[in-house]
Amino acid sequence: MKNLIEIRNLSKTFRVRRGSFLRREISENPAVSDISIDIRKGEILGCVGGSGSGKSTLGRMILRLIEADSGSITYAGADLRSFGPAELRLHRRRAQIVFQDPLQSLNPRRTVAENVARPLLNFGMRAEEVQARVDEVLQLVGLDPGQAYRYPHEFSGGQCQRIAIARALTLEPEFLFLDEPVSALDVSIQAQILTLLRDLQVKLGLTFLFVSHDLKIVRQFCDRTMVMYRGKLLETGESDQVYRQPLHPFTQDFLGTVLHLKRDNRWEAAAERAEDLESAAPAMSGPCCPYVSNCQQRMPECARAMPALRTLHDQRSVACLLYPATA
Amino acid sequence: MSDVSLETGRRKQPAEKRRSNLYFVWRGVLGDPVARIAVGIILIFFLAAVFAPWIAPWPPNEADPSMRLRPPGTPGHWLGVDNQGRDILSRLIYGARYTLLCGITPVVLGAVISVPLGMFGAWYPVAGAVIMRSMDVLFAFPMALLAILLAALMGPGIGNMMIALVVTLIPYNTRVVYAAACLERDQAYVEAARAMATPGYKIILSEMMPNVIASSVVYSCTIVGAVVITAAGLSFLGLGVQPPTAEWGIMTSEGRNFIFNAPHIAAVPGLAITILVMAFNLLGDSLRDSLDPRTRLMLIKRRK
Repeated sequence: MKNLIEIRNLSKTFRVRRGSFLRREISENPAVSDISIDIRKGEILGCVGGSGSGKSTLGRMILRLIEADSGSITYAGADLRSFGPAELRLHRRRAQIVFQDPLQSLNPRRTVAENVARPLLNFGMRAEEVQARVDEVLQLVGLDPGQAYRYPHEFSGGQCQRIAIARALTLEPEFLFLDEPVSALDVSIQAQILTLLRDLQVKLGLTFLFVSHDLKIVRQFCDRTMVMYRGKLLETGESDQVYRQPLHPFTQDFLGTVLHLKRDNRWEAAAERAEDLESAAPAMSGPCCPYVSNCQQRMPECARAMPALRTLHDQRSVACLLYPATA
Repeated sequence: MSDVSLETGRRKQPAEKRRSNLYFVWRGVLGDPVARIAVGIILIFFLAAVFAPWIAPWPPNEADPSMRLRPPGTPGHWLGVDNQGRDILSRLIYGARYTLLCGITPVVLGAVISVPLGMFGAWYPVAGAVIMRSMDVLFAFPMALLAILLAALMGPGIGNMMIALVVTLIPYNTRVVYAAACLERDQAYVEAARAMATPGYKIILSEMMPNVIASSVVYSCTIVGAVVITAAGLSFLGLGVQPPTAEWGIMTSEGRNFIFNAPHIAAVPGLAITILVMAFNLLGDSLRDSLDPRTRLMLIKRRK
């Protein structure tokens, strides 16, 4: 499969500033640091990691909703970061986003039809065609176009997410950034939305970057998985393999936080692990493995430099000194 | 979803067409008994102002010295007579013209300037810093004092008074709009609008504006009262409407010398101001609910 998006050494640091006229920096918060990953055409790439691990920032940089600090993003052979306004406008047709909170992502004072029609109007489509296209995409996501005159809050969360997906699809994009699209929904609705997304992906030949903190969903839904922690990419590989045989100590611990329904005695252990991951000591300054302060298998070298991402067998890569490169 | 339900959905569409915002405001306000009373009061004042020459029993400035200081209930002068022998009811009816004009015009003009200013400021942070800091400078003066200062600089007259009131109102309304716009700016739908290549001015005008304007409408309704009172204060100081013109503020201040012998001279126009202010406040509350798509359907359904 060809690569649709190639990300090389991408970094973004959020700087918190105080004052309005004389701005001075008071803190730096590296959201994404030095990430390189390929997204292949037609695949679903899952991205997992705790909160604040830079998953959403990564996707927003691909959409140019956030500007990267350094590194490069190549989209279908073109350098995304050098796009001017006209090229960016065309990029908006190809890459779209679906948000976590479906109700918040729709304008509450516009009807569903107006919300879905907005991107078409932005690209100068005529009113009659817009109406037809809105009906078409609403049917595509399994909604009744006859209800499109209603307001978003009259629909359930799952229906709102369908509307948001319809809106993202109106411009016929090839890439969708799904920013935790099901984490605000009921479990029973999650499966419906995921099935819909999977169907659309096959039918329209879409490429997804699927961000989630729900490991079970990512395992079932995504072809490949990347694991992020504190802005750094720790591990990638086929979803099944990452879950069956996690390599990085962080991934192993992170998978341990998944609750198992049957084995009740594991709940406490899982909660404890989750707590450890959340409250881990702040990352040490200077270059080092982001997980060094919490890792059970750390070595002195871990605190000296960030281990490079090494490619192992079967397209698996891991950034850990425990695994010397075989290639 | 089956084809059948899609078909029926299509057929239903013309009958259940989307209602306009005005329809919901109409239904929402008329469905609320409190708002109905408020609208009724404002309407009565408006009609009185428009048809003053036909309604008022006496000309507003015709004085009958023999009737001076008569209390309310005097035959022919149902609300009493003031210190110069002028009929208070007639002056109240004529005064509604100036009071409504001085109360509403500055608020409307202030909102017209404040809404774009606040939204522009929220969208462009640097411009926002400049705008909001200049507003802070205006804020440093008490509302009445600033109005007096401006009116005194420009000279007396109703036009200058209204300009002074507009300037004093802008900081308050701008801050309300700015705060609301900042909240909306961080909503996901604004980011979604950016992701679908909506130009910045369109995001401000057609995405954020409908969400922001409601808070300004509500605020404007509540501030009408303060403006009527400030306008009355300016007139009292000789900077606004000039005596002997009938205006509620002037009438109140003229009555102050007789507050112990004939309290009705100040109390009647004072009461009229109170009722007007209250009516606008209640209308503001009702407008907020009926402007919001999230609450207005409930309002209408509950009252069906």
